[in-house]
Amino acid sequence: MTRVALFTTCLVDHLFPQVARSTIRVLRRAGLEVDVPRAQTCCGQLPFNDGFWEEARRIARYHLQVFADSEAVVAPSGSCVTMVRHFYPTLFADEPALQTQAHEVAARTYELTEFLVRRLGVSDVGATFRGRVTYLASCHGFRELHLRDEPLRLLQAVRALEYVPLDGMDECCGFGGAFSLKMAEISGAMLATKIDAIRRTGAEVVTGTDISCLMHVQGGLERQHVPVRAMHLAEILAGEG
Amino acid sequence: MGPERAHHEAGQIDFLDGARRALADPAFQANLQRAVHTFRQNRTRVLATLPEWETWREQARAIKAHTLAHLDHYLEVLDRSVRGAGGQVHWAADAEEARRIILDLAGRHGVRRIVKSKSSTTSEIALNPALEEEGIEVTETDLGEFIMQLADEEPVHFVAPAIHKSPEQVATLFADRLATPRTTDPEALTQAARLHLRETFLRAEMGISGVNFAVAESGTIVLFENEGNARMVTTLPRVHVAVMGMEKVVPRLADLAIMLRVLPLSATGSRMAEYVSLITGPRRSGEADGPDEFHLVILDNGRSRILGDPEVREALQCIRCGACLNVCPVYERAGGHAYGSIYSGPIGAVLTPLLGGASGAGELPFASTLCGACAEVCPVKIDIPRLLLVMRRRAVEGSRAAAWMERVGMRIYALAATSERRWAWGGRALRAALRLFVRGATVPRLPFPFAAWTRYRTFPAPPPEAFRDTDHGA
Amino acid sequence: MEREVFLARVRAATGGRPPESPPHVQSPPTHDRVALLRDLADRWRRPHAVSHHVDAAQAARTVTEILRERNLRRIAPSAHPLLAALGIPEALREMGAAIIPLPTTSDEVRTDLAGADAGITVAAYAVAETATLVERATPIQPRAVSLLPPVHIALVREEDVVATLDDLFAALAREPVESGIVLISGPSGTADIALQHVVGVHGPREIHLIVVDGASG
Repeated sequence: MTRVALFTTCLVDHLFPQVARSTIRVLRRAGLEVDVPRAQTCCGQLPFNDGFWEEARRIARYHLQVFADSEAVVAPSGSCVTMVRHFYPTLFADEPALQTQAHEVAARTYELTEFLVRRLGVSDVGATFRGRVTYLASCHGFRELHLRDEPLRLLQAVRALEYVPLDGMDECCGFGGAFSLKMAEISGAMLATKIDAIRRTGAEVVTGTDISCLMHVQGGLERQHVPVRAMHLAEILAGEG
Repeated sequence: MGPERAHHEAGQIDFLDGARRALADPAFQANLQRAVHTFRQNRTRVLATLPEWETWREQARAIKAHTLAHLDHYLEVLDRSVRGAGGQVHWAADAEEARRIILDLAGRHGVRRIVKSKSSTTSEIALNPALEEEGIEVTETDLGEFIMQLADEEPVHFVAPAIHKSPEQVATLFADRLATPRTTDPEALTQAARLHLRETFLRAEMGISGVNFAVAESGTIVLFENEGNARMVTTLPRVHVAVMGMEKVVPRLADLAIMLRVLPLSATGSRMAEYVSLITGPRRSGEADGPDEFHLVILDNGRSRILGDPEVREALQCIRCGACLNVCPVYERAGGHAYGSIYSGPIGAVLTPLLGGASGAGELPFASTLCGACAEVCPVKIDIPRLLLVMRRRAVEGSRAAAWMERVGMRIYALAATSERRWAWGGRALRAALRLFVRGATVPRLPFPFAAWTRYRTFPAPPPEAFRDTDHGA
Repeated sequence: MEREVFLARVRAATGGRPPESPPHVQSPPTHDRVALLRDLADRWRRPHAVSHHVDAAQAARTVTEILRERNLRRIAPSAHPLLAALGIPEALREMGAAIIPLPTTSDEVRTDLAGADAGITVAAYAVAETATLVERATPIQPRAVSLLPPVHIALVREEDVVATLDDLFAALAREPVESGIVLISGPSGTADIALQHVVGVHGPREIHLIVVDGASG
């Protein structure tokens, strides 16, 4: 494989462009050419998770067209990949042609660490990052894509990085999309637990594979004046001496 | 804290209000959290010694799915077997009919005192208030349920009803209601309950239990417990009434082997329940104990509707182990009361609205981050996150008036996300709007309808341009 | 509601197809006999759950020792013939215990058994997989003997120890099913107050399992 298409994902595209740049850098360093289809937008998870399946279906149809010809699609998000892989087929349960297409695209769509470790067999991307780093697992990547060791192997291979494990690493941080607004009190309580755990690690940086969870955690850290920075794993893997 | 015991079916569910009250009670938070973490850790520790676990889960799922697919057949077999063993079978279409059947039985036998063992189904049909209205004394005999009854509260957890109470709270309750000397020692408190309840067992004329499983081929009902109170309830009184949701059937005695393996482990992390009672009809001639009459009440109450709905049928596979409660970060904080039904936690958020619960039940499926921890532990492999998603879709299709703003928002979002041009423009507009709220390096306050975000977190300041507007970092 | 009306609703929901045979339940591998008895003993042993493994000739002494050590006087043995064959009623009389006669009515169960210090029964089976003993209610062995007294002593013949729950239910399904069968895996217990484990909440607080070799009763 020599070419991959980057599925930027909506949050990264509009609010965290540095994550996309880092993802491209990591993929290029692994010897790949990276296309960024200009027409791409979003996977449709936001309306889907909130019960608006018709709206999600419209977006999904669009997404399938955009990536119809890509040999492999890589996204810096376990959540968006879960949407494409597990829920597109559900969305098109009554439309066999689209469901087939969904299965095809799903089979070629990978989360970044999944792609590096499982597809390319690379667990050291040659990165250097100075600092004490802890890692939180995002639920979709962890439970739906079963990414357990992959992100950690990549992280632990980074030069100069000191990895500190997080208590309750696989417990949800409380983001949950619209849940963070609709059930803000519970989301806030879950976030407080996560922040306590992060504080106890003494880490300078908390990382993960989904910018959505990290945005929520970063916002909580700032609100509570905890001097820990949230960074997407791609940013760390892109680090150079 | 905690709501008073009430008729569930008539109630009004306000999840957020209940959750807020739970979050505001530090003792409640600490006790519940400690309990679910202990159950969770016990389960994980025992599972580590059982390499067969995944095979067992698949077998348990297959048995439940098979039985549901042919439930009419297995209910007929069960009916024949129970009657063959000398028991009587009653069919209740809904809660009202189930209550009437049991009230009639109590009336016919001149029953004044009833002892009950833990049963979610009798809570579902709001049986106790109906019995009490007739002047019948009803005593819950599972220790946790007994405590809840004294406190006039609903169980917070359907496996561990009083697990949110500290020994101090139980001590006060016992001192006030049982007139026992005040003590905070769980051992002494348990002994006080034993003494009180032993008398009650010996005097009761009717015992009411739930049913964990009902074996079609033999007409056997199966009860899991650790305390021995269900044995008392089914051994001492003259009349035993067992109440079951119709989905509790398994075809054969042999199927119990697998259910015995998965249920206690999922519930509390124990390899086995201390007592598993297999009850087949009333006492036989020559037996000194056991009831003279055995009645099985089989309840529909919305279940046939779920059964005929393929998209959600698997919710009926639930064996009420509570494993999904113990791993749910939302349940852990909101507590069981917020769900407004005995069926709380992730499976409750699906079952309560499906069973046609009270108004407000439609919001329950939104009480989840879809983290998937529930699906990972479910011993009958119910895909709870998928069911939550389906229930959300149905809530939206059910055109909740309150959601109009969201509906408009989602339409606009879908419109933007299906065109490169609209998407790029939308992003620019969003970033421009956000810039108005940047203070320093972040957005400390977002306006309505996003204000709830910034109650607990800041929002990131937008970058100068979107990734799509750059040269892609080449 | 009429049964037929109820079932018609269910049939409408399932489509009413007759079932193929239910899914096969797979049994874990069966242990050899020695390992099996060791597993049973190992898994049974917990606070307030004691296991003994003795020859038929020592069974009566094991029982009386348990009673003497705890100073238990009012004893309710079931009328199971194995107890007589092992000389247990005789040994009880010799130690001067007050033997509570087998109740025949529920009133006798309430008055007599409720005052007993210990109940003695014969288990139909014991299951090594989960360390569970299995008691059947019969006219000669009422349910309350293993329930009301604070101490329960259960004897089981070595040949009635089965490896797995599958073996147990296969055996139970071969015979007529009694009105009351109970699987007992420990003392009556609860953790309903602050998760602290307390025994003897409603049933026995202590339980002894005696596996007896060479008892052909």
